Amino acid sequence: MAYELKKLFSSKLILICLALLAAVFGLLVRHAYENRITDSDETAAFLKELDESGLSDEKKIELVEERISDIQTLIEKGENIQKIQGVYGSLLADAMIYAKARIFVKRMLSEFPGARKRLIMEAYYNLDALGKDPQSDKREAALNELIIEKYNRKIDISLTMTGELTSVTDTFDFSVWDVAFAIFVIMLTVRMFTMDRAAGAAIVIFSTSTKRRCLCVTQIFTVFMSSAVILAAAVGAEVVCGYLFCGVTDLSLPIQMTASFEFCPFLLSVGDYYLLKFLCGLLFCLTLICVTALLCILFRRFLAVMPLSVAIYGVLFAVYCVFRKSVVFDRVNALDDRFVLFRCLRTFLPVALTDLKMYLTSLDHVWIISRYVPRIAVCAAVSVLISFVCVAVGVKLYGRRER
Amino acid sequence: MNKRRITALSLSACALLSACRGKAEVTEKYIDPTEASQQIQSMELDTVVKRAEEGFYDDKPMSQANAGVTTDGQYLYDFGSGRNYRVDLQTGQVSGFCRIPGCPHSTGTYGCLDFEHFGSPVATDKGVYYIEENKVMLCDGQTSTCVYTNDYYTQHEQKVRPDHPKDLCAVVIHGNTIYAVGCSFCIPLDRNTYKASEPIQLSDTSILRFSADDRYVYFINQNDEFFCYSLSDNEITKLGDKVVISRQYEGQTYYIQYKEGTPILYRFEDPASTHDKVIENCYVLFAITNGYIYYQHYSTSDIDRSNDELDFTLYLYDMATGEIKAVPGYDPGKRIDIAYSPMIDKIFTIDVRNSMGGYISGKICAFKAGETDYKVIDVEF
Repeated sequence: MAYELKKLFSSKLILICLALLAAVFGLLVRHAYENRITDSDETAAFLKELDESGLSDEKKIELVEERISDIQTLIEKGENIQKIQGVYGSLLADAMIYAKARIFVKRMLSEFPGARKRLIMEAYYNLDALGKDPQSDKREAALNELIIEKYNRKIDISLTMTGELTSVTDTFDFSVWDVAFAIFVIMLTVRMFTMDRAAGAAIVIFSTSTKRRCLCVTQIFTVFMSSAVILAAAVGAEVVCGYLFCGVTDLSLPIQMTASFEFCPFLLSVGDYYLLKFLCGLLFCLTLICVTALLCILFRRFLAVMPLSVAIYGVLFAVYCVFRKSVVFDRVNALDDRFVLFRCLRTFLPVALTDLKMYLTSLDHVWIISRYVPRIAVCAAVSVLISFVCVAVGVKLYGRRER
Repeated sequence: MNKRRITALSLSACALLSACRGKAEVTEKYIDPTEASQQIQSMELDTVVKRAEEGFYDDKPMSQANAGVTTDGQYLYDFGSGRNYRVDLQTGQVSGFCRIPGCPHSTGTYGCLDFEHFGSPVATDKGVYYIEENKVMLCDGQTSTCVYTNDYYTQHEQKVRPDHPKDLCAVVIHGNTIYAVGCSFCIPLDRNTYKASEPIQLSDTSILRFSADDRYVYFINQNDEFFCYSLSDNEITKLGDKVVISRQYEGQTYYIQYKEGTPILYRFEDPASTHDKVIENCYVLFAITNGYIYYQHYSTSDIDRSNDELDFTLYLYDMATGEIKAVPGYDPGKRIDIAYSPMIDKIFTIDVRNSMGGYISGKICAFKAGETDYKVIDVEF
């Protein structure tokens, strides 16, 4: 494997591309830095105080309302609250902190459980109605049971500021870096599988079938491990950026505390999200490497395979982006064909794994063989299957012509 | 770098990220199953539904007032309060209209139908018909199909809607016919096959209200002129001026006509027969069920008065005796939406508003025909 690694990174072109990849990531870091949050410390302190007060949820909301109301009374009396000393600076600063805290406290303690209870109660009610109907659909009953199973689990909400995880995901998830990284992975794979042939070493290397198979798997593994290291570094850097610029300091908090993941049905923490992102990225990498490796084995020349692989990835990515735009930005409703197609793409297209957030914002399950399975799991299984088929075919065909 | 080092490095990265995992122990529940079951058992509305030969359909007229409220005999739907929801007519359970599997029905959810606009919705036992540009659509909460696409338009449509002359305005259902109503015309469609008959040109101005019975279609144009079109001899007859709504109930046509600023409810069996005065001072959103009419007062002079000075009492008129009773203890403080259908034994007054963040709140009161007592359904959604 050391030889394979040397083969990969001895090229200046690869090193330049690696530098470009780092530069693209640097742009995202810069964007995160420019949009950094600076004023969350005092709000976090107030929320911590509130969290540790031992009051009931209702009393906590009342307490925040009272503090705001007291300041409002002073304003109505004509007092200049900017000049009056408050707890966190002037009373004006206090008012801003309390206002921000009120939104957070209400969302966490009132709206969050309220929305869950509504969903659960509706599911119980639907189950009751379905039970009375002998011709009811088994799938519908299973779905309602799943809703209860997933949402009727109390999430350990604390009044700790989660930071702007949404800002992190908006910056780093499904970004230009993913495209650059995918092209880089393709480039690594193509170089790995075409260099021996270009250097004229193929005839010797492919002399025995055992060596061929072993070499094919080793080459795939080397590219995969190289990509994994880069991906791990990127996710690690994202965690650091989240910590430094967006206030995502506690990775053990439930991801549901972030507004955009409120209805995530899985019990995940913020740290889990990063881990899952890494694993999904890894799986996509594996598929990309295996498919590109097969193309290399079939077409053999760098100049033929590189554009072909990039084109295949590019077309699939573009198709995904078009439908994603319709759903996320144009907000087409679920009855629209584009929405339905987007759901299909997220089930079967491995590139969708790089868009993790879309799988975690709602109960996104697929009915397969009498049970609901998370869509992300189906997509992961499809990716593994594609990879397996490509490796199996690739290993069989690798070096056959040279032999 | 050897294989061991790379593997170790990757595993360390995974381990580092795994270390950030939170606790996943969950024992507490938001709702206890027993409590949920008790809550479901305690809900009751017990609406009696009569089903016609043609199956259940809402025969509501086309009108701007109450346009978003409709019923299919199983649910009462409200598409006009900022968030689409439905009320089970048997239990009173309030839930979202959206039936998309797994949708949490929040404002941030992609594709949720609770926040979609449905033009002129009319509920039937097949689903909810609605207008989408020049199409008549049928939606069951999970899927939507186009049942008719309109290509017909006249010079009037070209003039008032130069960019979308083919667009339709409303769907009105009577018996086995769906009327796709355009600006100045209507197209009858068979309710089972969706086969369209020839377009009926009704007016050279815009139609604002439309209703139908077995023999006629009735329409009110933008000048508040009331007409009927005979389906048998294709003749249009003017029935009156200053008319604001017409609708059918058990073979009779009811309409409201303004006389000296006061809305008066009339009825007739045949356009050529005498038009009987039923109620004086009757707001446009009246409701008829099982021989009773629920209504509020309204007069054009009310426009200049503040809400505090106005009378929003809900009255009950007994069509058999002519007796009028006020509903005691019910003061909505405003004009209310009323939903009803000849096929159900209740009327529903709807007082639901938009709250912050995509939420709605308010109440729906269910009155059984002829009764002044009512059940309150709280809507917090």
